Amino acid sequence: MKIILFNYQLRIYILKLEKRIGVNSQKYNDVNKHILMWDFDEASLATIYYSLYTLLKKYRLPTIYIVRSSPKKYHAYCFTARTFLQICHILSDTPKLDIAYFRIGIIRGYFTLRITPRKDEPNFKLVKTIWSIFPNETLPMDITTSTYYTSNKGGNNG
Amino acid sequence: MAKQRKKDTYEKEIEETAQRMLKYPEALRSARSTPEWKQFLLDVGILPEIVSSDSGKQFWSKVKNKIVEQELGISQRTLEEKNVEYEPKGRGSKFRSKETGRFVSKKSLEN
Repeated sequence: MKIILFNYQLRIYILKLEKRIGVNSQKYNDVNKHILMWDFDEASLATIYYSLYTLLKKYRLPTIYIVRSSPKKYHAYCFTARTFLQICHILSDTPKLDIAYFRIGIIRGYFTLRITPRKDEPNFKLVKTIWSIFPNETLPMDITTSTYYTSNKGGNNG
Repeated sequence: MAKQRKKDTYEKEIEETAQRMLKYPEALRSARSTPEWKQFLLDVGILPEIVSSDSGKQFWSKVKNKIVEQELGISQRTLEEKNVEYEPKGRGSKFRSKETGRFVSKKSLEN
């Protein structure tokens, strides 16, 4: 419903929201340290695998886990404990990274990935592990999570 | 006339603001208080035994064992028999004797 009164406009609308849980890159007990998380859009698994393998060797990263988040979309996790600047440097060096994810993360000061599947979509599945000789720098349980509501069924940051 | 800022004051202000933003971002909770994250890791199969153990010491020893077994091809049994532990620090893989504290070559463990 839209009401226009002189120079003002009043809008009233009802939007169905979905509750989602996201996992954040920031560590809970050390706010200056982050884990690495990637969000890929429209990239083949082979491209992602070789991009991440190159990054693993270049930046001496611990094991990377590639997870299928929805058909043809992938997330990747690496339990590092690096500064935000280092994280941004590594992410900006990643080909085929979802640019909207990167931009939002830069503004917020941490990166977020959804861990609850969207409606009518299959559950998350681990599709590939890139093993490293370097041990994990963070416990998976030492990071932060957040709950948010969105009407976005697909697209960016949903 | 506007008050002149000293260089140090300006940098301190930025640092304090950044710290405040990082310390209290909107509704961030510890992953330990979010069972969904633990369940996600278990469902997906990312380090299930490490997540369920939930202990730092156990975590590192399991990670080390995994690296030794999968990447270097040396079984945990061999390390126990030779009384050697793996130290993944620095370049290359290093094995240190528990008795003498000296480094042992990978070749000597393979024989």
